[in-house]
Order: sequence, then structure tokens, then C-alpha cells
Amino acid sequence: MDAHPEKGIAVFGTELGPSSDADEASVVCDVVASASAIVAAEETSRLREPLVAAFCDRVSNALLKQADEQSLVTLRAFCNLFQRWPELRRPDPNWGLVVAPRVPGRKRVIESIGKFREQGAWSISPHIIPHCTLHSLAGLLSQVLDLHGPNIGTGGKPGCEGEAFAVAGTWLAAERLPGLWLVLTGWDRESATYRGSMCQALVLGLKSAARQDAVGRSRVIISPTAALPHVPLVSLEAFLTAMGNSGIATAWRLGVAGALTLHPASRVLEIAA
Amino acid sequence: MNQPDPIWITGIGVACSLGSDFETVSRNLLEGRSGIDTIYTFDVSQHPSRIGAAVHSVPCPRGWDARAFAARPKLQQVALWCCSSALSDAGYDIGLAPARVGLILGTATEWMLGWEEDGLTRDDGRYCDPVNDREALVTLVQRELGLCGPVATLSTACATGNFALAMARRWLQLGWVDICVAGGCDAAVTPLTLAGFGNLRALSRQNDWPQAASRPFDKERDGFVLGEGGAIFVLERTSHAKSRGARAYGELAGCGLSSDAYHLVIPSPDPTYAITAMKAALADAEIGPHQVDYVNAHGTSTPVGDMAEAKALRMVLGEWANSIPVSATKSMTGHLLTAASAIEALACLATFRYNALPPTINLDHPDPECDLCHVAHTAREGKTRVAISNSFGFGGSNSCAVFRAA
Repeated sequence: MDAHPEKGIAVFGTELGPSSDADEASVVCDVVASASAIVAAEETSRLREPLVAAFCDRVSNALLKQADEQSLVTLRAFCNLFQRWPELRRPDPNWGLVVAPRVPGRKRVIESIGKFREQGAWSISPHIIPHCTLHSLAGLLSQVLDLHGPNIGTGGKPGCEGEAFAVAGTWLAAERLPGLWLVLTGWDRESATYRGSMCQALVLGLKSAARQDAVGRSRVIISPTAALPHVPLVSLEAFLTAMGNSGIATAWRLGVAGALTLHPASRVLEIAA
Repeated sequence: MNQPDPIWITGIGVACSLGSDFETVSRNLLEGRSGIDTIYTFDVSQHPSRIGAAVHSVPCPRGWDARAFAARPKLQQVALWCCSSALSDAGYDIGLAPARVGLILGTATEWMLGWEEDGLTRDDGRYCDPVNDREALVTLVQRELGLCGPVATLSTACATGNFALAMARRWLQLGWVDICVAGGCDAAVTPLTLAGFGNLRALSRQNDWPQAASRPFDKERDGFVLGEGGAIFVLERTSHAKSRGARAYGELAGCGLSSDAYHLVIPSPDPTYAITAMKAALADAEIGPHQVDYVNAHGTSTPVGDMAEAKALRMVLGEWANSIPVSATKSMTGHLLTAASAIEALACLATFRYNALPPTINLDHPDPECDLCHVAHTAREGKTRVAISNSFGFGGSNSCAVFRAA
């Protein structure tokens, strides 16, 4: 076992089964698809037009005109995902959405406060509440993807990404939902302007794991009651990095309680073999 | 799912315009009192809607420094008061609660409220600077109350409270926690939120008669009235509660959740998915519509929303819709946004305790498009065994919770 300060504990070469490191309360999930997008702040507005074209049956220019950067980059990540897994463009309509943005709407609120101070109440856009709250992106995605399972915004702050996995595990346990999209999104660094920052989004398609489906798929094990006090908190950045480390299982804390383990695809292949 | 060990609600903490304990809020609801008034804590003269159900003071939890507590942001005060008083009410001393206590806090805009407060008070133009961002509320509450289990902040807009309760129930059923503290808190009676909802044309503009402005299912309704506050519950398995001699306010017997996937703001004119949520909740509780004794409607007082809900309720309740009493307590509390369904869960539990149903006040001229068995103006006496609570939110979230007398 080797400790890595950024990525949590990486477990090398041990005989881990797909769920052998899961306790009784753990939820073992197959990652049926995943994709990410990372876009510079200056480029995010250019995403709108191609996104409207990509989702033309479900979104309008007017809708995406109001969407914030994290929403746009998340939709870009879904486009990337559907290029590789076109069959998931229309999954079971009862799939859910668990979406963890990080402090969305900062630029819009700065603008709004400036206008409010100068011009008063009538200057406040009616779109700020529908588009900049914790649930906004989850609601938008349910509309864009035409999903009728629960759509939930969670976390909301840097360091709260673990909550998204706990929420996802809640609904995937005992196959309460047939599957769900888990989304983590945020800026690489917070600032008032985000000038020079990168906006990033990770999309995971998760289903309750079936042993026979293990081949070729990454797995996450969500252990809400486990205690791993000495590993780092899971974050969007750490998870993105770990997804690229094939063959290395990585563990994090979800919060004060709970743990998350990622077994990237080749590791599961090796186990299945 | 079979429920060999039903989930009980054993503690309640509340802060809203109608009071800050279960008994006071229940009494005010049953007496048909409105908590809505003209907003006087900031200048509303330029706002299209100038009324709200504000919380003007939040009690300080026992043993805390009152002055320091009063200096905290209002949302923190509401969350800390509601969580700590819920735990105390359930018989747990703060800091001495068992380790496996989960915390699910419904709230949607905590960072925006911080930015707004910052932005409207600073004159150096450096508002919304990340260095001033506050710690996540759920983390703060967990640490300050000494809780050690899993946590989550949730938002499904106005349906958040029901989602938080549904998730708490799942955590208990899955054995993830022994106790779960869950509900919703909001502190949205602020200049920007009032302006945002006002300009969205979601709010009532009946500013001259604040207490008559929220009128769900009435022909003269013209939007909701912004409210604020919170309600937090302690949930635990019946066996756990009984083992320590705890009393129950009621059982959380079932939950149903769905999404319209139709529009970010407007409820779908097709009631299919609202119906899905209600039917799923009844199925989860293993009851039929004829067993429902009371419906606490979402009933926001918006023209479109109330009509859509009435239509959905009639389709779910069928012939029983003519006799199952329905009321919308937002007529008195205003709309507490992410805390709305939490307050309405309290209203359902009050029916078990007091054998009476809270009314929809201001229902002077029931809209024929909202033809239901309304409890209008005054409370109705009667024993309730099963109460259901609907909540629907922006983003197309639908939810229904079923409560059963313990």
C-alpha cells in the first residue's frame, strides 16, 4: 500500500475483489460510462451554440443563454460521453441525477449586486434564481436529458463532493433507481472574475453493480459508515486524476464519516480475468 | 419495501414566522393565524412584492452565548437552532448524541446569501471575494453539534424538505445511521431574493393586505408570498426509539419522488409525474388513497401551480377526492422555499397530536378549477391516522411524503 498526498491511498497489487473491500453498508456501483470536460473561462460562452445544436430537441437558445459556466461545461461533458456511448443518450427514463456544483453563480451575483446598488430591485434578472442555485443544474439536466427520476443538487461548496457519492449511494442501494448520472463540476480555483481559470465537469453513469457486468468497467464503492480518517477528502480534481490511473485503486474520505474507493477499469478487468 | 422497523420522528426543531417550537407553530396553524406582514427590515418601496413571512429573531440554543449567536448570519442561526432543538426535543443532549448520527440539510443558496450580505454592506467593491466565502453550513452544524455520521446538503428547490426526509428514511433503512437529523432551512427574505422572485412574477403583489395575500386555491390568488425559517426532524428506527423510551410524533411511512423534465420554473401541465410521485409514496407506505385522512397540499397560491396540483390530486385520490380534506398552510406561513415541505411535515404531524386539521386561510372564493375538499378558513376537528404532504419545485422536482400516526 502506498500513500499519495494528493490522491488518497493508492492500493497496488493486492487481491481486491470488486467488492471485497466493501463493508456491509457499502454500495458497489458500476461506472457504466464517464466523461469530462475542462474549458477555459474565456471559452465557456462559445459552448452555447454547439450545445443548443447538440440538444436541439430539448433546449433552446433562450434557456442556455441564462445557463452558468458550470452548466455549460457539464453539458459539454455529456456531449463527450454520448459520442462514446450513444446508447446512453436515452437511458431508462427513471434514471436519477445527483449533481454537485461548486458555488455556482458568483459572477452573476456580483453583476446583480452592482445593478441592485445602482438601479434597485427592478434591475435584478428573474433568471438568477432558476439558474444559479444548488438544484439549478440538476433541474436543467433532467429537462435536457428527459429524465423523470429524482434530480438532486447536493454539496455546493469546495470539499463537499463526497456528499454527492453518499446521495448517489442512497438511491442506488438495493437498486432503488435503475441508474443515475453523478455530476461533479466547479472551477479549478475560485476568484471573483475567474479570469484565467478552468471550469471542469465530470459525469459518471452509475448503476448498482452486478458481478457479471464487471469486465471492462470501473467501479466505485461507496461506504457511508466506514472510517478512513487518514486519507484525503474526495474532490473533483482528485477523482478526475484517479480515473486516468488505470490499474490503481484509490480511496478517499467522503467527509467526517464515510469512504469512497475507485477501482478503475483495467483493475476490474484484471480481477475478472 | 417491507418495513419491519418503521421510521419514527422523535424530535422537531422549528423556526418560522409563526413561532420557534412545535406547540406554538401548531397552535398558530390550527388557529388560522398568518405570519405574513409588510417587510420592514429593508427598503421594499421599489419591489413589486413588499410582503413576506420573515423570521425576526431565532432563539439561542441552551448553553450558547446569546450575543455571539445573534451576530451569526440568519441562516446559521436557523439551522443551529432547529438542529439543536430537534435533538434536545428527541432527548439527546448536544455533544452527547451517539456517534452514528446522520445530518441531511436542505438548503439551496447558502453561498448566495453570504455574497448578498457581503455585497450590500461593503463599500470597497470587493464583495463575493472567495476569501470571504463561508464554511459549508452542513459542515458547520455537524462540527458545532458534535455529530459524527454521514452528512449531505440537498436541494430540489421547494421540494427539498421532503427529499431530505426521504433520504433520511433510506439511511435508516439501509442501516447507515442510528439517528438522522433532517429537514430544510432557508433565510430568503432578502432584497435580492425578493427582487428575483418578484421580477419572475412569482410573488403576490397584494401588498396592501399582507395577511390576505397568500390564498391558495382561491380565484383571486396571484402568486406566493416569500417566507423563511426552517424545520428539522430527528428520525430513528422504531426499535431504536422504543429501546430508549422515546415518544413519536408520527411515522414517516412512505415517500415518492419524480421529475417533470419539462421546464426550470413552470410545473408541467401534464400531471403524469406529479401523480407518479404521489402514487409512489402511497405504494411505499402500502396504503391506498381511501386510507388518506388529510392532504397538506403544496398550494403555493400561484395560478398555474395550484390548478395543476388540484388536477393531480383528483387523479390520485379518485372518488375519495370529494371527501379527503385538503389544506395549504402556505396561506399562513408563506413559502419557505427549501424549508417549505419541512414546515408542512410539521403541519401533518400536528394533526396527529391535536386531532385537528389546519385550514387554508383566505380561501374566500374557491377556484372551480381547484375543486377539492378544502378545509377553508378554520381548522377542522377530527382524528387523523394518515396525512400526506405534496411538494413540487423549480427544476420539475415532485415529491410526496406519507405520515402515519405512531
